[in-house]
Amino acid sequence: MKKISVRTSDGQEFELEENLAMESATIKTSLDAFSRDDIILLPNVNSWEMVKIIEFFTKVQELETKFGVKFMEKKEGRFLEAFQAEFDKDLSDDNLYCLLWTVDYLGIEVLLENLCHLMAERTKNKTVESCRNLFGVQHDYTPEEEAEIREDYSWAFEGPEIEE
Amino acid sequence: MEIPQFLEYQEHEAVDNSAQKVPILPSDAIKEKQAGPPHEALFLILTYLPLFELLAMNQVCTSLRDAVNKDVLSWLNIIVDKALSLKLSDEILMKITSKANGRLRTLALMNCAKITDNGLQQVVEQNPLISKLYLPACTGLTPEGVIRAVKTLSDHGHCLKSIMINGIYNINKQHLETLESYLHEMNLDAKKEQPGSWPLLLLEYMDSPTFRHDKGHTIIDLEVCPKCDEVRMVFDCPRWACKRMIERSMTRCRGCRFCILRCQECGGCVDSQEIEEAVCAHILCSDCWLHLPKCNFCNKPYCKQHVDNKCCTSGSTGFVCEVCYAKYIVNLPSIVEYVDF
Repeated sequence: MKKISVRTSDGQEFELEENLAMESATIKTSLDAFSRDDIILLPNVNSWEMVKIIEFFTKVQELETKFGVKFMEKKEGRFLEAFQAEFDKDLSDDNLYCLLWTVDYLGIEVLLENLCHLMAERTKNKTVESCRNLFGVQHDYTPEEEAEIREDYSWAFEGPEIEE
Repeated sequence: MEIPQFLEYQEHEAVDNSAQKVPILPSDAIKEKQAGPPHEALFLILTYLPLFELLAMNQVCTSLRDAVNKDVLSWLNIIVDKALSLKLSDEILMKITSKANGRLRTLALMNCAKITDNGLQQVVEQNPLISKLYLPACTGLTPEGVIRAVKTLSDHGHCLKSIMINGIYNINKQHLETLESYLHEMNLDAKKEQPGSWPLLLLEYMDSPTFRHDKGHTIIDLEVCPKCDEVRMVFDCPRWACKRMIERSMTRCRGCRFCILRCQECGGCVDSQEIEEAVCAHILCSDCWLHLPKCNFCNKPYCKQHVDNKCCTSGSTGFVCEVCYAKYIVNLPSIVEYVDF
């Protein structure tokens, strides 16, 4: 199996098997444009992110061999969900967000979907302010606009809190 | 675009990174970034958010507000959960679902007791392409109302793949048959699963009630219980060969929660003679009871759902359950707290 070499933003090099590398739309485009012997530069990808991505591919391969199902093709949710739970454990919110950026950049659809699910779960417990901090967005509402929004959705945010 | 700053920071760290096995935390890098417009990856998350969180996103910044309101994709899968279930009225439901411009795909109203048959009917008439209709414990609905809605979807969009109706009152076998016939007709192309072919396990269900439906493993959550002949949710045993199966030479251990008691911790069946009780009054099997930590006073464990209710006393190992805590520790005035065990 042909190996593709990639270099991340911090100068580390990784080798990916060709079929896995092709799961990334971005890498695939680069491979189509340039020779397969060249190292692909990934200036927007960090080495720890690459490690995580390779971990994901390795796990998927393991599961595919074990169960004989092509996950990437069939998007077999059940096993990927189990893997998702593992993935979730050692990623902080910021880490997860950065990984999401990177996977979006690389265009790895299946992983992106899973990370979106995870990120959505995490936002569930966050206040508006902590969401702003996490996503690095600016609070750009005028007081009038803010009041208008609260008014529009007052039915959702006011009233008795539901006990768990 | 914030990426250049991010990279700059990383280059300084390059030397340290290779030595580390733990992923480096770029959170400092993020804080150094100036807050700006949200990254496009963020917009992807919107489609996965339940309704409450989606509405909260409106308040984060104007770009997100615009994304949420103008992008139809965020409104195609409406999930109304705990935070909003009792606040959702017919009128608000109509307003929310109209944002899908007739293309609503999933409507999940979990315990939305205020929704009526008319409210539901209006929504399905405007959105014939609904493929998942989850209405568990929407006690304002009637079986006839649900049938009418399912018929409308069958006549117009013909896309309905799966429904959840457990908790709606007065559903009988005729209702169930009618609904099943509509659904089977709409699912002819899909691999037809026999009831019970994808097991319904108590723990999986408690963890994620919609999982089986989302993955297309079942079309309706109710069945006729093989034991009592009532229309109920029928659970399978997670154990390959449970005691019940062996003793009674059965191939499967299936029954509703009234017919077969199940351990809250593992979902396995529990014989009425070997029931153990948790502090929270949930049933446990003897195996689970044995390995769970127990209260220092009453020797009862908590099930995993309620384990956060335990109280710890200083100076002793283990824990005291809330009941014993209230009885023996809080209510005893100046007496020294119970000593170490």
